[in-house]
Amino acid sequence: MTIGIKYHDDGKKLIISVKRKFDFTLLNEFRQAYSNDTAMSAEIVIDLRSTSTLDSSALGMLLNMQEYLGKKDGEITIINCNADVMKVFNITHFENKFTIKVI
Amino acid sequence: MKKILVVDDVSANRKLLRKILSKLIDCIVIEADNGNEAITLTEKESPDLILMDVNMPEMNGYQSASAIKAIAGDNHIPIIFVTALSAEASLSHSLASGGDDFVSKPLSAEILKSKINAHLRIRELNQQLSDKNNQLILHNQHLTREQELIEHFFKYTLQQSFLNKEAIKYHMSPMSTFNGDLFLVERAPQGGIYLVMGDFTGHGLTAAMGTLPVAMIFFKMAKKGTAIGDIAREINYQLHKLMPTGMFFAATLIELNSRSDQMSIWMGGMPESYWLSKNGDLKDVIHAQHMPLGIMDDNSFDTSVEIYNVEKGDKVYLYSDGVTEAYNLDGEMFGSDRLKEILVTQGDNRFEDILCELTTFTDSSDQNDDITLVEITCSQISAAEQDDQNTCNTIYSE
Repeated sequence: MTIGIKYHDDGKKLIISVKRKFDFTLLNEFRQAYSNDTAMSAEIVIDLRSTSTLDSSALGMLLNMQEYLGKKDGEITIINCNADVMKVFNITHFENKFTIKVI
Repeated sequence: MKKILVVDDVSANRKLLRKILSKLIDCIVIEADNGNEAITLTEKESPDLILMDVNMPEMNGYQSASAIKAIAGDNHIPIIFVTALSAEASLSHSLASGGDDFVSKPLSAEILKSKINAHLRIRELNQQLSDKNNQLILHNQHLTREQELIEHFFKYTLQQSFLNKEAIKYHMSPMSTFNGDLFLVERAPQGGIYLVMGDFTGHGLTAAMGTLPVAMIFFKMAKKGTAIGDIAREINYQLHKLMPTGMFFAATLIELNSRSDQMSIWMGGMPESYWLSKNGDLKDVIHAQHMPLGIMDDNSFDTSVEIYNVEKGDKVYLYSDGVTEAYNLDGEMFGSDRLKEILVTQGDNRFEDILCELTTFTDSSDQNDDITLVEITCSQISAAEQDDQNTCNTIYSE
């Protein structure tokens, strides 16, 4: 599996991790990771420690997730971004929508 | 009901087969007493299966089978030889002449029935395949026609750009028929130019869809002399409303004033741009200050622009990420460092040099995204005049 799903604190926190390339090929798998009732009420953290690159469709997938879960700007946290991934977030100013942390 | 053609020069044999068949399966039996008649009947009656005697005067069964298969073409008509010859010789001969199988005399009703049913099943599968194939061909023709119509629509909407060859050089290379990259220029009513260059999420028709409303908004507002921050806001508002979440438009909007000494830039989600002096010194690297268009709520949209004091002859380079993210055959990316390197070291033809290096780099590897490169040279552009139409050009396709 390219997408990892781990619940912490009795389901109060969901950590989704993405391996290697975060791109359109993960569209369905990524959506499935958060499309359930437990995720709906959980705190969401996206762990990109093992993500090498991220493209614009991945950005779209993150926006879709935010809308689907009804999260406010900054409520979803994206952690462990490498330099290449940070570059994409910086260019697109995704810090307006997500709380973004470098590795 | 299935139609079976029995070919035999001996009338008694035909009668015997007809009798056996009538007991075995529900079918219509037609008869031919020689190879030529078999061919004529195949064309006229279009049987579902043929039982063919091998030894006949004039044209034997193998010759007749070859001729029938040639005429039938894609329409698969199974031919089963009825033969008293040895199994080995019959089989190789049957298949070589285009036949499908054989049954040995004396006939076993059970074997004949099984073989006929098996071959009728194959014929049915073949017909289904052929039907599907025809459907696909029709569907494809329909799609091609639709694509032509849509192409016309895009061309008409995007061809209104004002292009002054001294001030603007551009190169656009869509990955497929429809371009998700967009580049438009309009002359400001007070002199100077407006320009938008951007890149929709993805590529192909879905990405290109969004270029239509952007072009309409841009031309309309630029003609009125609206500030670019406000044009950006309107585009963002409409795209946010129209597009599904997850699709957006990374874009740079530029206004160059009539004296050509001030450039205002609103830049959202685009890779950095380079500003060079007339002599080729790097004056500044311009970074995106905003998110791409179509994501932000109108209430939180930021219309602020960055203003640069430019001089005549200064050059600004804009590009879509299709340039820097182009891959070569080794899977290596062109990269922004390579682009910057060409810009700061090359001579007078940077625009051409970049394109040349990019072509050499990617060689024969497949293009993986839409590619756009623009060079703006700061120069005086007068206000629009009615008779000055010769610089209008289409930028959609080359």
